[in-house]
Amino acid sequence: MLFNSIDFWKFFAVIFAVYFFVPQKFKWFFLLLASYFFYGSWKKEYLLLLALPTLVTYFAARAMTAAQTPGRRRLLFWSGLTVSLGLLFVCKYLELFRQTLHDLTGYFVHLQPLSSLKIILPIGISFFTFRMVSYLIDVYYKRIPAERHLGIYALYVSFFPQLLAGPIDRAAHLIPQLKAAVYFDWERITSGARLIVWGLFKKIVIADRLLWFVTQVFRHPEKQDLYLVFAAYFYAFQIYCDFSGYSDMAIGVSRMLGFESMKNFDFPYFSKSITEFWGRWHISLSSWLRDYLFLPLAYATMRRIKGEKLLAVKVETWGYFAGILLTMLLGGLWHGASWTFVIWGALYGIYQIVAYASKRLRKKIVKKIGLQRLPWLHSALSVFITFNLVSFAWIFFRAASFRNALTYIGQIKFRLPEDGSVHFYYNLLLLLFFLIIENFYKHRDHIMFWQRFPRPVKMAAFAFFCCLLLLLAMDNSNEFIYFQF
Amino acid sequence: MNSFIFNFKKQYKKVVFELLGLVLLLFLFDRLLFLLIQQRESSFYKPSSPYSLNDKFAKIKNKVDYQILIFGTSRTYDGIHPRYIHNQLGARAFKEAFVGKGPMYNYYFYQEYKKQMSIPRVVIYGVDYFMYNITTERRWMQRFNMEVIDTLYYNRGFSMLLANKGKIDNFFDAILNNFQKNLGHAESSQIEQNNVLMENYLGVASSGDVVTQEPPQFDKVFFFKYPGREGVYFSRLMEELHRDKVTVLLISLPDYIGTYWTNKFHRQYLRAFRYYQRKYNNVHFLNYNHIKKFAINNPEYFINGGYGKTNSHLSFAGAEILNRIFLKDLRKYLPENEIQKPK
Repeated sequence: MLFNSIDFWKFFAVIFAVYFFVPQKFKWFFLLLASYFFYGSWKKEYLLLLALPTLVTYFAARAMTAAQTPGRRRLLFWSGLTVSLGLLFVCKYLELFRQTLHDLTGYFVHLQPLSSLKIILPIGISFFTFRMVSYLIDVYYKRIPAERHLGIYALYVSFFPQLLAGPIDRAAHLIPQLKAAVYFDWERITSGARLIVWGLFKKIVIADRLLWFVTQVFRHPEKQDLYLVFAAYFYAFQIYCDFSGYSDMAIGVSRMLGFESMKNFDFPYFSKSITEFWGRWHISLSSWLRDYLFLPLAYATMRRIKGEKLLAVKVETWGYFAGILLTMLLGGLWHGASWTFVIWGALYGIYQIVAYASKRLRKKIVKKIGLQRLPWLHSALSVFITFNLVSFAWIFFRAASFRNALTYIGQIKFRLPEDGSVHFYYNLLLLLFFLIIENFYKHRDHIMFWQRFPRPVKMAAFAFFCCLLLLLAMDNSNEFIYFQF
Repeated sequence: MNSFIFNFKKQYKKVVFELLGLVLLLFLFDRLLFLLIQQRESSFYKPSSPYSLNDKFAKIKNKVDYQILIFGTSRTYDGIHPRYIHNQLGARAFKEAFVGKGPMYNYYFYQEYKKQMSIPRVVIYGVDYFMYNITTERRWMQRFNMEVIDTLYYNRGFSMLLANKGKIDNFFDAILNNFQKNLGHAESSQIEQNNVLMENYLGVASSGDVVTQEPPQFDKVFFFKYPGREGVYFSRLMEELHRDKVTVLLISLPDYIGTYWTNKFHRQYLRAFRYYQRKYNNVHFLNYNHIKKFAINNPEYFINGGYGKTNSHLSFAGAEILNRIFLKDLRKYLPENEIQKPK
């Protein structure tokens, strides 16, 4: 049941209608049943892979709280972590590990492909594993108490709007909401519905329409010349609309049921630097990586270096470099068991290290050419450069292999191809339309201006937008890109 | 009292008013946009457009040579090729198979064909699993200048935009194709309008669009039963071909194995078309959609399709193999004097 399928909306309509009448004390049970039904509808075996680590992490966290000694606490913490991350490793990375080992030792050792073992990769495993891991870490460091109610904890892990592709809400944010009483609030329901429609528009109009052109160009990069640059730009918007569209729908569905999820995207392509980009892109993952990976890694590096400087570079700088590079590499690997994702992550690590190291030099250049006197131009240039760096990295993310990515880049020529494609111009038009709306949403003044209109006008605009959605949507919508992660 | 219900009671007037208002507004905008599209579509496919049938027949020389007529959708367009028939058997085939042509179009086309060409000896009709679920695209029906097109063509529903989504998309595609022509790029619709191009068309190479990995879950579709949307016209055509004493070969083209398992109700599908074989002695049903007849598990033989995809088309390589097998069968049904020495 995909969010862009009729089946899902039938399922949600039933859940939403019944949810009204379920007594407050059974609401969690009803949502838990709905969530397990939703996940089981993909494949029944998935339920075991969801329930097993949920039980292990629940009991590990409870036992940690009751543990008398730090050693026992640590043992329980690592046990819970090993089970949840171990399952992720076996399902997702074992084949890449085997393949790499085979490539490295191919002359001496012959390892059988693991496909014969029929290991299944449950969808959304990376997302719910990260929810469990963050919960365990937070309980271990006593940031939150261990949840006593198994049902509420199981619902936190499996909450169906967020189960497959996030947002990766933290326990401290979601669990109190799951316990609190839910009231009927028409304003909140309509706000959720608006978000769902906007998310659907991003997915089935923008992302799915861009998909065709992007696929054609990535598959046959020969003689595409300048289209290769535009296909990388289009892919940047395709993946953004696909994923943020999904997030909007997930947040909208949660909101309709009475829960506020964390924001996952904040107009990332308007960022003026890569660091800012990561603060606006997939926020629930990037903040997760920052809190549970980058900071511990950076501090650990700093602790290991004796003195204030190493090779004339400050300890803090070494901490930042090591933390950011490793975090980005692992962040890349989180997206999939492929070296193209690792390279994609490494690129972001390098971008940020270079940006950090060249901070002073860039300031000097800006001052020298007088760009600081034209702040709007400075901003526009920063946004343009950041967007190009991001789009360049997306080439590695999208390509089937590293070699394919290099071939793609090698074919770029700054002239329009002889055989023009009408889809190219159509996509440009669509993107322009999308950016106008996106820009409207970005500015608070515009929203305030819109709020002043009488409600019937706003309803008419909403109804017209829904019809436009029907008109422009792709007949056969595709699966969400982030489901594979 | 349940807090949810309690709050709902306090707000119900507003909720009911806004819901009704929204439904009404949705209905109004839906009809408005649909009317706009209907009008644009009507003027887009005017009879003097490149879609004219008279122009198409006028370009053909030696009309009497065409003793074989090929009907079907895009699957037949990519699967059966007149050039192979001509090279192997010396007979000329007029291929009318193309995307968006359903039984209704084929029935009316056959009337025109008889008038402007002649009664063919053999009709090859590529049947599809979804045959009773398709509606002919308007651009093709407009060729017949029928007054009733609008009532025949559009589906009814609360949302006309949703009920006619596929047709609206086809219309948008036609507009895009028109622009594409202006950009100087040959589109397949140009092939449809030119019999010489059609006779030389041998398909396209496999481009890796086939979904070869079986996903944990994929939609399986029922067989759409007769009469469906245009099945009545199929029956009428079969009846008329029987009266005209035309040999009819109903052929079930290969689907990629993923598509084969997606369209899982094969018994019903085969029964639906074998029925005509039993009913009319001039009709023969040939099934190539089986691993024993064709390597349907080889993705190189297909350009698309796969698990969860209800439709797949043969690639250049796949069509070459299929035509080789099919021509052996065709030889049996073609009158002796039609078969010449292979070139």
